[in-house]
Amino acid sequence: MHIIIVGCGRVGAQLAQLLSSEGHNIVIIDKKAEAFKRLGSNFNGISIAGVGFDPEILKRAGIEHADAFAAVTSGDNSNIMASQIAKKIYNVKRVITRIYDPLRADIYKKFGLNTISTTTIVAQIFRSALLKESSKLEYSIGLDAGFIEYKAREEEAA
Amino acid sequence: MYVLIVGGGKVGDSLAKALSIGGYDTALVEKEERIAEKIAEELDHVLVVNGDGCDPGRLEDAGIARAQVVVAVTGDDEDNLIICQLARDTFGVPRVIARVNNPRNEITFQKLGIDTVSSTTIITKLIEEEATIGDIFTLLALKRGKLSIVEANVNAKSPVANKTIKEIKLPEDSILASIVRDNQVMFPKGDTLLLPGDSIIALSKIEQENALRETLLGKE
Repeated sequence: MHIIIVGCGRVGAQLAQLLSSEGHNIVIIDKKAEAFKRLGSNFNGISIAGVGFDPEILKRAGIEHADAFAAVTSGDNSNIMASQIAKKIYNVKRVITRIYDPLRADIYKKFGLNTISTTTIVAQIFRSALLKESSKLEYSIGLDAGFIEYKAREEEAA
Repeated sequence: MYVLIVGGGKVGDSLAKALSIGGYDTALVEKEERIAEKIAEELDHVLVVNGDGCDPGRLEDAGIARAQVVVAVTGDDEDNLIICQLARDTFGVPRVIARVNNPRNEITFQKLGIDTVSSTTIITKLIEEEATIGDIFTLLALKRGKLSIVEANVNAKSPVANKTIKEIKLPEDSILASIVRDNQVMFPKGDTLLLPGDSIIALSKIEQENALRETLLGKE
């Protein structure tokens, strides 16, 4: 798949490495060229320095024929704007938006964006881990429902 | 009318001042406390809220529920887009306008259905038009650039000088809205005579601007 990732922070870089190692064609965009150092030497995708919601940059990244798009910069509004361009202007099939502010995630879910509110997910994982509760966590990505399986604690010896 | 402005920079500040002097109920949301305080001190009749205009709670504090117009004029285009979308889609504000700082983002706003004002584009257009069109000025581009209000100054050599309105064959999709003569606004009728020195205000589709210019002022 041709996948565009906007934001080369820790999450973006790891996602790019992961997908690239699985054989996908990755183009990663970040406004700072030095962020691409995080990708390491094994990354064999393309990196473009520029603003992730700039139509010119997105065209260079091949948005017209992209199969999937992830916006994972540290700015919620930048992620929302870039995702709307991908989804509503270029009709990219799979667009996922990372949002820090849970309030905004809810609002943009209503607008049809598939959002992952990492703040909410991490808070819930911590809560469950602290309370030693079940290892299943429900979350939703916009319109699609899903869940993450994780282990909150080691099984106690019987 | 209740107007809510987001962004207290030079544009937001001047706009708030102009609107409140013009008798509009005006509110302004500004992120930086220091700037918000300064504006609040200067503008007595403006409700100033300190907070992030992308936060629906702050917009509610500023009375967005009763706003007829929301203007987003922060220095960040992504913020202006989100503010306008929140205003229109979540709060149902009938008229929303965004400032676009980088002209490259204008197309995105237009495709997402948000009306924009870009000072860079306006200045560029004004300069271009000064250079190429001469006596006709685009006063305002409306409806996402599809419709424009233009002003043309009639001189003795203009093909329409000393003719009545009904003698003039205007291009399609354009109408003469008014005539300014000796600082008086007149609404033209069929038998109104156009005189040198008149300033014609016309409405036209953007693509008809050149045809309109030729009709009113002749070929260059």
